[in-house]
Amino acid sequence: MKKNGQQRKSKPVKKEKQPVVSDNKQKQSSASSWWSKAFGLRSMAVAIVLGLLLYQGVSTSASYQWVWNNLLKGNWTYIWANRKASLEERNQRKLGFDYIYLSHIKKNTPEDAIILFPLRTHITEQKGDQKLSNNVISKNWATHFLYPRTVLYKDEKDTNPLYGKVTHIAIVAGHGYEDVEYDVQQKYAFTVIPKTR
Amino acid sequence: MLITGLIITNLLGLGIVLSISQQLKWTEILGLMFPAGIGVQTFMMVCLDFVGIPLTATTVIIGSILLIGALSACLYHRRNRLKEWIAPKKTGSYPKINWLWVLSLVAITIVCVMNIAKTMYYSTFDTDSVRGFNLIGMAVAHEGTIKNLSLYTGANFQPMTHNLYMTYTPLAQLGYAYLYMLGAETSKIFNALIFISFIFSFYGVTSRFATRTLTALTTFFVIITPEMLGFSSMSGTNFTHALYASLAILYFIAWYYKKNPSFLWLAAALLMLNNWTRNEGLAFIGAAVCVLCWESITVTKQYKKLILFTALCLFPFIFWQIFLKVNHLEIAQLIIFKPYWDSEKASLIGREMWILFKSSTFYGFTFIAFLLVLLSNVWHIFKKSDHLVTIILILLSWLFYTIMVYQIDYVWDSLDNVMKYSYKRFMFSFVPLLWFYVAAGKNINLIFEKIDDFIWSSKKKKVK
Repeated sequence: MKKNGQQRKSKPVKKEKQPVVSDNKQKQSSASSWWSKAFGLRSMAVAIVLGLLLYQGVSTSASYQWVWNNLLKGNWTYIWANRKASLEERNQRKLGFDYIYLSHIKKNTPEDAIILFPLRTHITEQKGDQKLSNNVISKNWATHFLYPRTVLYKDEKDTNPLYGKVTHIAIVAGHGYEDVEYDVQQKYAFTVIPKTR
Repeated sequence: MLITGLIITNLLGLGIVLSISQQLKWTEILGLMFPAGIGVQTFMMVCLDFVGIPLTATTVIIGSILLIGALSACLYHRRNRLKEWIAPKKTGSYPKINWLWVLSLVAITIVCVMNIAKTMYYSTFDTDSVRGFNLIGMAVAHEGTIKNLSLYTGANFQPMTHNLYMTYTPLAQLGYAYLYMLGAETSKIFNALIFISFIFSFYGVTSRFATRTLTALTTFFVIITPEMLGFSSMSGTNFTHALYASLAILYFIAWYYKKNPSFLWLAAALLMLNNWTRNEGLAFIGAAVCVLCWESITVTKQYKKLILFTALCLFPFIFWQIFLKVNHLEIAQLIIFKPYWDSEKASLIGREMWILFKSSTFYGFTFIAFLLVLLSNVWHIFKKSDHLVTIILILLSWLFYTIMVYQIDYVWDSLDNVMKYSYKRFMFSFVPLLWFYVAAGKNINLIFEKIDDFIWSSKKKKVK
């Protein structure tokens, strides 16, 4: 870079490596020359020696072991064993109860529904085996699985102008029944119900 | 519909790539087609939305077909050059199969197939994409607009809490939107195609500087970089950005050393798309402009190329800022433009960077291989300036990147979290550049040329 234009111009440009070709004798190949072309001893020796060296280097590294055992082989084995699973089933396995619950809401509400979730603390402080992850307190995250439905939380009572237009109540760990404007006979811990009858 | 849409995207990309350069290898063309096509389509989507045309599969496809028509007319004028390029070249044949090269290609194929299977098996699940990129894609496809998107303008969303993703340049979001418009169940085919494109294009451009065995081996090492491979199957924008940013810099290097003007404009196109994918793409534009500026001042003494290159690279970013401003989609400024010194912030960045560099957990052998090759080339670097520009570009991009991280006002998260969880993803763009240097290094190439000579030593001759 320090050199001036003329010097740079005179600097020889690195030649691209030229492929090598066999000579005419070899082109007029017989069965034996095809055999030697495909299974050249030197080529195979280089591949075995360098291949083993690289394999040794890569296999002793914990991070590459993780790549092979978990990321590639582990996932491949699982995917192959469950290759007939539907997209719904795959998402359930990946995202667990969050996906099952949000899918239930999606299936049981119209596209223009405005869904009220309980206070965020009620979602983060659930107890028991079956509970939602903290991802659900993110409006964007919940909206992704419920779109085009509108998601809001009880925390937004005084700030969100859509609060008065809520059409459905998302019941999380039993919270939310207090916002329903009629008596609910059968109460479930996790469900969605219309706000008014 | 989905297949038709993807064929149109690839045809558009093919037209763009061939219009810019007729000196590309087939691996490079295969690798650049989809990234170029989807990049231009997403830019067109913003233009359509700007003038009030609804975004639907029909409008985007008609727009793309018109663009393909215009590019075909342009290519028709250059048909003689294209004929030369298409004409079969006398490349000769190799006397023996290079089994190390074959093994490397087999290993690349295995990794590729397994990773694509993982990518396609699950729909979007990573937090950033669920909260942002993929959600925006779904919403744009459903509502047919960007500027009036309910996620940005609806009363239910507050800008600083929910709309930070709005400020991100929109390539990935609109790419996902295009797939949803075409009826895709998930947007993951975008990520699968980007991964395949990366393998072909990286192999193609690296093979201009290294033996094919070395190229195949380094391509293999790039794609098995642990953190990068993990994220390549997700919908985040980091791997997509790594493709555009790293290839842009590699074509810039190819222009510099191979003296092929078309590579400079290919680099400019990729730098435009790099910034159209993520805002921090500015770091790579800055590095390329610095080198071109140096070249203009010290060698060519001409500035027209520099001005055009800089203007082109910055155009999409400026256009996006204008789009946000005109449509009142701005949120509070997150970048601190005033220079300042915060020793605590600087030392935290330095400390976390050192942890990333010294560990092989995230990047495997990337840094150690780069350092070893760099040390082995010290003599060539000082005496013959061997790949000095490559090293300068890598270091400058990395420096600008780190300065940007330092200048951001972290109102939505702590710097500690950004360094621990985000900065390691920011480094994806550098992984291909570092492995490229490993492949292009003088001494390692000499060793692999010797290996090739050893394999083909008997009865060989060069093509004249």
